[in-house]
This record gives sequence, C-alpha cells and structure tokens, in this order.
Amino acid sequence: MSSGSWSISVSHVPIIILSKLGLYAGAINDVEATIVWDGRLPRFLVALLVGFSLGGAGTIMQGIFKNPMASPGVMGIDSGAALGAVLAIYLGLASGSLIALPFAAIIFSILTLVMVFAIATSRGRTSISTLLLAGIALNLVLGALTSFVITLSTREFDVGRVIVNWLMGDLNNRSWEHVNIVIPTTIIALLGTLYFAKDLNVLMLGEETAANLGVNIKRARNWLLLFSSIETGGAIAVSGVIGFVGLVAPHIMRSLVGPDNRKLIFFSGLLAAVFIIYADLFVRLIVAVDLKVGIVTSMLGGPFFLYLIVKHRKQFEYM
Amino acid sequence: MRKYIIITVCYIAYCLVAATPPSAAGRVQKTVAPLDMERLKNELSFVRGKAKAEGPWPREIRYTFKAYDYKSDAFRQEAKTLFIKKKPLRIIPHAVGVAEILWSICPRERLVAFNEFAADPDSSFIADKVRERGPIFKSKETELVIGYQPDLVFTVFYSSSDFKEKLKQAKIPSFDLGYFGTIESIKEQILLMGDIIGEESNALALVKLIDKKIRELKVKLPLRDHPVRVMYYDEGGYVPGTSSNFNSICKIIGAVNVGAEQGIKSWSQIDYETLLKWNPDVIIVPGRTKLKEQLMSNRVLSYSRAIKSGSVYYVPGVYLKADSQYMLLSADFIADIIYRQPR
Repeated sequence: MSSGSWSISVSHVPIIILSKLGLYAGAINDVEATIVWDGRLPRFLVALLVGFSLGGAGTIMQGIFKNPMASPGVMGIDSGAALGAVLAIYLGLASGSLIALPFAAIIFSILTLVMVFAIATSRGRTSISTLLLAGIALNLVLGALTSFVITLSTREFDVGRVIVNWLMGDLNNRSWEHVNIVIPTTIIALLGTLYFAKDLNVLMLGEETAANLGVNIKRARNWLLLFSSIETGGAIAVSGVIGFVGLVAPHIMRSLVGPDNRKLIFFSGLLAAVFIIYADLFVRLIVAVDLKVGIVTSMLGGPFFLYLIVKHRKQFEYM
Repeated sequence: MRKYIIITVCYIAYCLVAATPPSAAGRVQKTVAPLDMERLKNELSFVRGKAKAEGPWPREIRYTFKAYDYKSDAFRQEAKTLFIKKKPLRIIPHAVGVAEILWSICPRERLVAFNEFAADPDSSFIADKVRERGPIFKSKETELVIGYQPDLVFTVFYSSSDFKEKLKQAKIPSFDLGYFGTIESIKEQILLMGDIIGEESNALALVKLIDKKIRELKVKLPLRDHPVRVMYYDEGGYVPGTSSNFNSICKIIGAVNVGAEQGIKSWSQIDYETLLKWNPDVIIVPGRTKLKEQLMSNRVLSYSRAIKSGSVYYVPGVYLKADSQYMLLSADFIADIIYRQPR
C-alpha cells in the first residue's frame, strides 16, 4: 500500500492505519492518510475480497461438477453480472450513483441463477448435467445480449470505453462503498461454503455414495451453488470480469494442501486474493500502459494453467 | 417452477424500481463567453470568399496525408497526389467535422447526404440543420451511400476499411482525409477540401476567419502570471494528452492541458491519487453525467486544488468533440468557464 503514484513511506502506512483505527495518537500527514485510508486500503480490500470470492467459488464449482475445467462462470453468473453492469453503464445509471453498477450486476447474477435453476429443475429434481448445460446456454445468450449493448454503446465513445474497461476487470478508484458491497457477499458465502465443505467432500465421491453416507445431496448442492453464485456475483459487481483466478487457484492449492474442501476453499481464496492484489499492484505501477487487472490475471494465469496441464496430464485424466 | 418464476418477476420489478435514471445529471452552468457564441456560430457556419474564376478541371492536388496511429501513439505522414476529373457536385461527408466544414464552405445543394453523427446534437454543431435537411445515413449503411450516387465521398483516416473498400468496388470516388485534432490541422484540411471541391476562396476565407476570431478571443482573455492548468476527466477516468483536440483548445485559450503536461499522448486512464498528484486548477467533466458530484464528494480528492475551490465544471459533449472550425466555439465556451465564475 506504499506503492502508487503518490510516494508514501512504507513505515507511514501501518501508522496511518493504526491512527485511523484509533490505536495511534501521534501526528500523521493528512494527505497521505486520506490516500492510504480512502484510496489504497479500499482498493486493496476489494482485491482481497474479490480474490477470496472467485477462488472459493471456483473450488466449489470444480467440486460439484467434478470437472477440472469448471470455473465460477460455468453457470452463467458472470455473464449475467456483466450484462447487468453493461446495461447500468449504457443507460447512464452508473454515472448517477456509485452503487448502481454493482447493484445491477448482483441483481442480474441472481436472476441468472434463478433462471438456470428454473430451466434445470423438473418435478422438484435438479439434474447436475442439465444445470451445466443450462448454464452454458445462458452464458451464450447473455454474452450475445452484452455484445448487443456494446454495439449500441459505440455511438457514445466514452460510454463504450467505460463498458470495455469494466469487462476487462478494473479496480481503478474503488472506494469503501465497493468494500461494503463485496464484504457481506464474501463473508456469507465463505462461511456458508465452509459449513457445507464436508458435504462437498462426500459429494465428490459420487451421489450414490454421498446418499449412503447420509448427506442430503439436493440441499447441500443447492446451497453450495447458491453461495458460489452470490460470491461470484458480488465479486464481479465490484471488479468487473476477472478471468482465470477462479479456475487456476483451486488447481494450484489442490496440489499443495490436498483435496479436502474444508481447507481447499479457504486456501484457494487466499491464493486468488494474493494473485489479484499483485496483479493490481502491477497495473498501478505500470502507469504508462493502460493495463487492466483482468488482462494481467489472464495473461499470467493462462500460461501457468497450461504448464500445470502439461505437468499433471495423467492426474487430470483420472479426475 | 412457479416459485422460481415468482422470484424472477419480483427481482425484475425490484430492478425496474431501482433503475431510476439520475435526475440532476450534469447540469451545465450558464456562462457568458468572451465572444458572442451565437454570432460566432453563425459566422463560422456560412463563409464565402471573393468570387473568382473557377479553377481548371481536371486538376491535380499534391498534399501531405497525416494520420494518428493509436497503436504506437505517433503520427505518420506521407506525400500524396490526387487527380480529380471534374468538379464534384454530389458530395457526402462521412464524419461530423467534415460535414461541419462543408456546411460552411460548400454550396449546400451539393451536399446530398449526412452521416448520423452529424445529426446528433451531442456530437455536431449543425445537428438541427442536418435533421431539417437530411437525408441521414448510418455509418455502416454503405449501400445507402452508394444509392445516393455521390461523385465524391469524404472519408477520414479512422473510417471503417470495409466502408472504403465497398465504395471502391462500387467505383464511387472517395477521398481519405487525415488528422483533425488541432486547429492547425483543421485549417490544413479546410484548405485541402476547398481545393478538392473547387471552393478554394471559401476555404481560404474560413481559415482567415478562424485566425481572426482566435486573435479576437485572445485579446479578451485576462492576463495572468501563470497559465491555468486544466484537466478533462471523463467517466472512465481517462485524460486527454498532446494529440487531443482538448489540448488544442487549451492552447488557443492560453491554458495548460494537464494531461499533455504530464506526458500523455492520446488518452490515458488515471486514478484519483494521480489526479491529486497532478493537482489541476480546473477540472472539466462531460455533461449528462454525475461525475462532478462524484469528484466533489471523494475524500481522496478533497485535497485537490480544483475540488477545494469548487472548480469542477460540466461541459456538453459537443464542445469536447469538436474537430472543425467550431473548435473555436469550444475554446470560447471553455475560456469562459476557466477565466470567469459562472453566472
């Protein structure tokens, strides 16, 4: 948090934070304090919480769908959030209120979740494969609608640019309002998923085995999907679309802490958070080029994921 | 299933209620400009030079094509020669700036159609006239353009290559104009267009009028020890640099474009912290947004000179996009904002 366009000594940062928390009574530089407390700290916290959300959601999706390629976006939640956000920008709502964009993104992500479940549920039963297919289909439809709004927005150069930036994942100018939006979704979803993590471990052995071991499959699966959707929607609402971390982080942590989801959800979130924080730091320091966090995560995450695939080819075959 | 539908309907209703558009977005302050804006606009909209004997046709025009390469943030230019068989009588401009220039120097009966952006009041100073007159085509409606049977289409260096290629295939004569970002380049383009359409004296008269009005404007600007440092900050946090028309506007009115001062070439995104570091005297934001309120209420920016003095102003988009003789109107409008308090 000492890095940025305004030079602030490393030693000043903890003093400022302690002072703002009422734990330090000495004199501090007001300008530096405002930059750290109202500028860099909220941005850091948003990156941290978004990372936790996407890493955790990716772990759940890979576990539930028993598919190493599953990511937080597999059910179309991120496409729904993207459409909501793009509409909020295009209709001018985002310029009217700071929370309009995250609010629209969350509403649309929840709507998408409801639609996916409505499509996949028949006579009270929700098929996992139909959920996946419905998610893929809605992903395509919502992606097309987002592209349509982008096409309309090209008339307004400034609006088009804001939309494109948001779709690339952007943490520029994040404030405490954004932190307040993503904190509840992350905490609720993290606690919820950790509560059901043991059930997810059993679910990964197969539905029949899980049922024999006394797990209420439908309840556990639906809650886990709901929690992962909430954290994905909340994260995308404040950061835009940040790719690859939700896919890569669980893979890396699985090889380090093992497949137990009680640990894996937390540590995948932690790794994703660290990854996004450093990606954002890189973006902030390279001011000469208009980089976006989503670009950095995909550019670094993609090749690294390919390396993992090549290294663990056999392991993936048995997943 | 019914449960899901009820939940969905409830959320849509909630969303619609919450999606109320901003009511007081981007009100532009009422100002008194150094030059009478209405008069200036009228003068720039119709210019006729001394009647001269028509130049020879066919004619050969040697010119320098200058374009901005957004990938490398640099200009490229090359010497070219244009050969025109006869005086063009059915002309179509494919960009707003070109339409505005032709509106001033070309007999209007020779303009057979206008691009949609020339009819958009947020982009064009002649939108009302274009709407009255028409016809209007959308940028990608190449078939419509071909259907008007023009004998000259003015494209610009950033016009779609598909559009240019289709014109070529239909054997419609077209001319690609270069960079329009500064008042000097605009004057060059005016003279070139005058040559091409056979209205050299009108073009020369418009260039002379621009120079005269710039002199008149400069005389009316207050003398200051230090030039005012102005920054244009848009919704995405983008700031224009040296190659932007905003930079040219600042130069005309003796102000410093902070983006250019800090080394930005075309456009670059900056965060609030950088804005605070660069500390402009005045911040210009696009109208029809609530950006002023957002900047004024931001705690990081509360130490910025412009925020402390309340010098954040909305400017309608049309003034910020001007790339024709109407850049003078933009300069006049912004000069008033930065040198005088709003009334």
